[in-house]
Amino acid sequence: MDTEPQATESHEVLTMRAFLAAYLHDEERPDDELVDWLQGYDLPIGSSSEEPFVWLLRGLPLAGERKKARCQLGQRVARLLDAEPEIHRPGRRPDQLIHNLLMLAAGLGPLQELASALDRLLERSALSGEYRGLDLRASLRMALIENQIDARWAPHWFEMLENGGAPKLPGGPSHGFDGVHRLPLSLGEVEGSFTDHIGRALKAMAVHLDSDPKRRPHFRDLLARVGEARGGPRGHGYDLILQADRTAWPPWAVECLPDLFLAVPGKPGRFLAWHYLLASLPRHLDSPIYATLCDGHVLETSPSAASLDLLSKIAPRFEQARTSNPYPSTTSTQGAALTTIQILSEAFPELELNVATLRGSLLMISAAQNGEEHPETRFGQYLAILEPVYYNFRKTISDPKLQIGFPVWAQEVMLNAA
Amino acid sequence: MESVAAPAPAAGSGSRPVFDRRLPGGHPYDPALDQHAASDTDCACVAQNIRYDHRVSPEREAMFDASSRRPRSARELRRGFEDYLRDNVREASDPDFSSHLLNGQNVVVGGTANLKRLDPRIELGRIIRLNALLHPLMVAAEKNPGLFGKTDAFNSPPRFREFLETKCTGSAADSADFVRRVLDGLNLAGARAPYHTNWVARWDQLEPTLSSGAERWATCVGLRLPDPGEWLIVLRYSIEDVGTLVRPTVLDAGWHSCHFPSPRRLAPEIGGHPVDLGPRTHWSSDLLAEYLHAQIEYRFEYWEAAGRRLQKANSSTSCSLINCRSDHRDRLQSKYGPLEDWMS
Repeated sequence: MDTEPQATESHEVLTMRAFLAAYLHDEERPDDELVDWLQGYDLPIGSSSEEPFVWLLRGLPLAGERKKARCQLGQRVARLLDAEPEIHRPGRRPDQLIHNLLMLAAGLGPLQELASALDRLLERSALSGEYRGLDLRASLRMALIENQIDARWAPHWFEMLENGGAPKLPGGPSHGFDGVHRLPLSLGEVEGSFTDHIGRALKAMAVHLDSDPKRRPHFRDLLARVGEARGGPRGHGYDLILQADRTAWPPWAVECLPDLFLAVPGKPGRFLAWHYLLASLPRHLDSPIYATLCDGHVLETSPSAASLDLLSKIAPRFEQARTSNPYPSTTSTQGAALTTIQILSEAFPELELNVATLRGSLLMISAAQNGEEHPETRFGQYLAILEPVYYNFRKTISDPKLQIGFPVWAQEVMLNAA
Repeated sequence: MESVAAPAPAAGSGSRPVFDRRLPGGHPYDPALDQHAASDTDCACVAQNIRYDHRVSPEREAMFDASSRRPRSARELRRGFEDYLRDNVREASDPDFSSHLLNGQNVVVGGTANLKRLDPRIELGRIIRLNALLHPLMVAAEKNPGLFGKTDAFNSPPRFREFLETKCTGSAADSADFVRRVLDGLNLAGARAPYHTNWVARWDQLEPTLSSGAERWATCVGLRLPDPGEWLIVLRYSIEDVGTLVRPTVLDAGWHSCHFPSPRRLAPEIGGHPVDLGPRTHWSSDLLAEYLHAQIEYRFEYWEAAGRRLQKANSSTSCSLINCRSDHRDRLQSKYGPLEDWMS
């Protein structure tokens, strides 16, 4: 990864740049100089509060010569890695040297030479020890993550993600996710697509975050990072929904996806829509369902022109309510959806919410309340929210057919409300 | 002029000093120091500091000498300083500066002799460069991956810079939460690997400069910023929070040309004086007093007490080292009287 060119250069940075230029200029020059720098010796004065690799990266030239210098330095670093420093422990401060060598490799990556040298280091399995509180194998993990040119290390990342650690590398689910997240976007056919890997990684993170009270904001952060890697948060929405379906994400994680109303690529007239959104269509508007994804939370539909027109108008409100919900529970999503319906019914008087929608909503709410200490209180509150939204509400909820399948306490609340 | 306390060191005649002491027939470091004095400006400045820093006791000099390598070439002398700073000060379980035996003449409060040369209620201010915290925060994120969420932010300096940019430009509440996590991270990292060189200034002297931008926060305490766009925070706490407080020496500063020894005969509680790297028009009327303390547990309240200051310094430090040091010497002379041949 290249550093952004800086507007002004300090004396120390210019000095480091001159040191590095002289070193890289002579290909026959021995690596002693680099070995010294990596241990913190002979760097620009005043540099000791930061690790040497930071200064070496600062020393790379800007603009034109940068790419070439990065490759040249990468080759020297690869050469030092192949000299088996973890076995021969060169210099006065071998742990500092190894840590800085690996972190320099991380800062220079991804480079083919570094990927190969790091792979050999990983295979030797001789790295141990720590530097200033950091396990050197963690430094290696960082170097590997930043030097991925193919999916050869993906099994390590999935070990961390799904089993909490890898035999040769320390790291938990977050580190495993970092590894998958930094896989190259274009992988070979046998390696599987980036999207397949990221879908599986996101599923593992959803499992990992399941009991976290901040699971939705955390998971959205992960999705945003994936979006950044793919050049924008929304360009990959369809792929992510398919991944969520294929790898069976939990519903709360599906609800964190950036886009749940979008056209199906390659199928004119077909759309994917969040079930709450589709359920809010009035009875007279047609939108047949062709497939259900993500355990029924996402539906593939082909709306009529009038349906599409209305869906396009109301979808942003649903999406906003869904993607800004910070709370972990299923009930919070239902509350957000129902509030949206209520608000929309004021803005769009043509909305006529049907009995099936009402029944579906109430069933989900009652199911979520079941087991709570006073489920009838919360359920009664939801009924009060829904009443102004639905036509003939009291008559509808008193219909015995609608009440089939509800717990007894919920039936009683509905009868009282009617 | 300030009052003075300790007597002047005995000076031999003729030879040049090392740690402001003259040996008949010269000092073993002379050839190396001469070589540095004739090399680049930075090394020449450090060589001058070594010659005149009387604050390094003979005992501490002996400790330094014993822990560094021979032959005492210019290169080995510099490496000796760099190694000593790391092994005996910064990363030592007990830094040499807190030892009464080695550094008693500079201990202001605490130390192995539990001195109390300053009122422990006096407040201190510390400037921290967040961009320089990559390593400790990397250690903290490894220990507690949930501390910052985005663990790959620590894989490289550019990612870390982006991470800081995101975290420091959020809402006031988000930034405060981030600073809290940074301080927790420093405590977590410090528990795994100590870091003892914590430079502080007297809060009452530092505070007036804090209304200027972050560049000024750094330059007034002699802190150089290598890159533009660094993020800085300020902490405020009292002497009683730090345990041991000392006047720094050249051995605690390492091979650093911005450091400048204190004039002879000053009491340790006066502290050192950082070279002001800012333009003269920004100087405060008095020299700041600077001290050093070992690692402590940082509390969020320290940041709040300092006015919740988190700011970006838009430019790197650019100044003429020679001019800054020359001006600093003049200021010392104005405050303490003629310095004669000292540091000339």
